[in-house]
Amino acid sequence: MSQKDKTYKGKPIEGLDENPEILAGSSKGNPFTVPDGYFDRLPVMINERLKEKKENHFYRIVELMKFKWRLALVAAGFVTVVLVSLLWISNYSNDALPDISDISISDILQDNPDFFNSLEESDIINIIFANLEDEQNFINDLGFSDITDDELIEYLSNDDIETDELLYNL
Amino acid sequence: MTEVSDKKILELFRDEGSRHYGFNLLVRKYQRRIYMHIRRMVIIHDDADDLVQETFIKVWKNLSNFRNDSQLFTWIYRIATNEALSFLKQKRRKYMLLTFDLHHYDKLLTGNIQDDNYFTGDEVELKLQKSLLTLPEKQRLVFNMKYFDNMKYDEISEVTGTSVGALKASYHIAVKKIEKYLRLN
Repeated sequence: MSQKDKTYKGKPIEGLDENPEILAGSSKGNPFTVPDGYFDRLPVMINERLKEKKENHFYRIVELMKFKWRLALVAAGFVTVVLVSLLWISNYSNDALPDISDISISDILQDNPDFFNSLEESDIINIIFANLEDEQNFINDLGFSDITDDELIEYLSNDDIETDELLYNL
Repeated sequence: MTEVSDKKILELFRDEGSRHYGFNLLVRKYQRRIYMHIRRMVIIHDDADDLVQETFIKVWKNLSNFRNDSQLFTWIYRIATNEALSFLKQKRRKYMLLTFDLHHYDKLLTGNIQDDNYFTGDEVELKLQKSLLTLPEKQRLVFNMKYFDNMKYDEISEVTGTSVGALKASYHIAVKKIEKYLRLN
């Protein structure tokens, strides 16, 4: 059976001009109806929806926790990327500096002969041997393998040898 | 069956053991009034059904915070009114974006009344409802509460948060517009 209110009396709008308040007390029809038994089912539907909302609330908390974990993972990943990038930039910067060992010493000496004029011979000897990984190989390369260290030092310390002679023979 | 008082319902609700029972009594007491209040605003039964359920869910969630500053039914009315107004605002915005017509949704509702299986009014009632759909929604709201729900101005004031003077003016203007519509149609 329809839930429609059957007490509607006709035309409640009549008399509106004269006294609108008269409408408030008059019986008004309710043209809006609902499916049969709707109001019997409504409390049950509301309770079911409440249960659904509570369950959804639980799943939302679980989802939120998952989301937090995801967020933590993303943050950790981001930090890792930043750290790796910083390390790479730091290494790149070091690599970018010219390595003195890669430059031929003779090139330097030929390009800047005046600079070495101010150096003592002992300084030059120290520089040459400081940049050599293997002193003995150097000596071999020069064909001085049969010369002892002491002889060589004595020779290099000899005041009669000109610095230029020493340098250009390298 | 005698109607349970609001005081009794609130007592039952505040007790953990009888909360569901108290809430069911509240729903049964107010469901028809709230449904009709919302239905007159949104017109379509399915929309009204959804909004009534949402209204009572909000009542469930917030009833423990209810203070006796206002009557329980005006408090529930306020929730229902906000639900209905928010719904209409969303629908209007959606249809306006789709059709670039500000009043498209109201036109749609007017058409829906005629075709609605759950509208059984005669020609005069149909005309009255159509005239109501030409009103701004807050005027329509005030008219519905005053005319159909027989609410007092101070009760409507509690629901809408509008002064009694403004409500009287709003109702008067609504009546004049309805008269004009009925005269012309």
